[in-house]
Amino acid sequence: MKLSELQSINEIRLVNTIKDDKDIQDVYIGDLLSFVMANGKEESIWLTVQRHINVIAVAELNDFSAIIFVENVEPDEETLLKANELHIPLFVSSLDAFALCKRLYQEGL
Amino acid sequence: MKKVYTVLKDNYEDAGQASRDIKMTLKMLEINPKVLKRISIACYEAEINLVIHSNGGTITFELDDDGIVKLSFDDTGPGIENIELAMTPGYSTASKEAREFGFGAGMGLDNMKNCASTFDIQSSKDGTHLRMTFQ
Ligand SMILES: Nc1ncnc2c1ncn2[C@@H]1O[C@H](COP(=O)(O)OP(=O)(O)O)[C@@H](O)[C@H]1O
Ligand SMILES: [Mg+2]
Repeated sequence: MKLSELQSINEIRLVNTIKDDKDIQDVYIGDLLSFVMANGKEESIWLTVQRHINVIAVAELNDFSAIIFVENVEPDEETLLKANELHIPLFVSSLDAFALCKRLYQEGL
Repeated sequence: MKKVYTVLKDNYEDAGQASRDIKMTLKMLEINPKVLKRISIACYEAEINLVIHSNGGTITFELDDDGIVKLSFDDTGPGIENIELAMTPGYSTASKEAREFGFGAGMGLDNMKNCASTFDIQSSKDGTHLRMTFQ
């Protein structure tokens, strides 16, 4: 699946300016950064409620394709700016992680 | 090759910057991606520990001719009283603030040990000195 295919899910919106159409190979859900670092796989999309700038370093080190903030969590301004700088697409979803996973599954992920 | 980075106490904004730079450097040298992943995890965990637990310090990255990567983390205190306890998965003294940012799972030292080829930690009130090698 490609990031551009997320557009067909109404409950997801891009919140920064990075439109790179990266591959999505997997999904990782978590808010404790040590677990995300240890277990996240490259080209995953990461579902989290962690809005602080530190998520960007974690996404970058893991080569994640994008971060989706679930349950309408809005990332901090610094997080948005850093993600633009490092070319990491950020999305916000109104769904919780499980509901979003069901939608992603329906879309073929 | 050798690079030294300064890490400041409580500097959450830039936390992870040194790890990122080291990763970029190694990526350009086309190091094995699996080894690079292990280095990234261990380096990030150790860098975060300098930010959230120590009074600040330095990270030294060295790459020798045999392709062995050595990372050293040296801070100026307050030290780890009981290293065995600190190594226990789930044990953390992270502040409320650090936890709010997603740190403090108590998995850092354990993650590092699992990722590194060699792992050595020494600590006193004057500072913690951590060395890891990767191959
Ligand atoms: N550089 C350091 N200086 C002082 N204490 C440290 C340092 N690194 C680790 N510690 C201590 O070891 C504990 C465990 O560290 P770690 O496994 O990385 O978990 P966490 O960082 O999530 O607390 C920390 O909570 C802290 O008490
Ligand atoms: Mg830690």
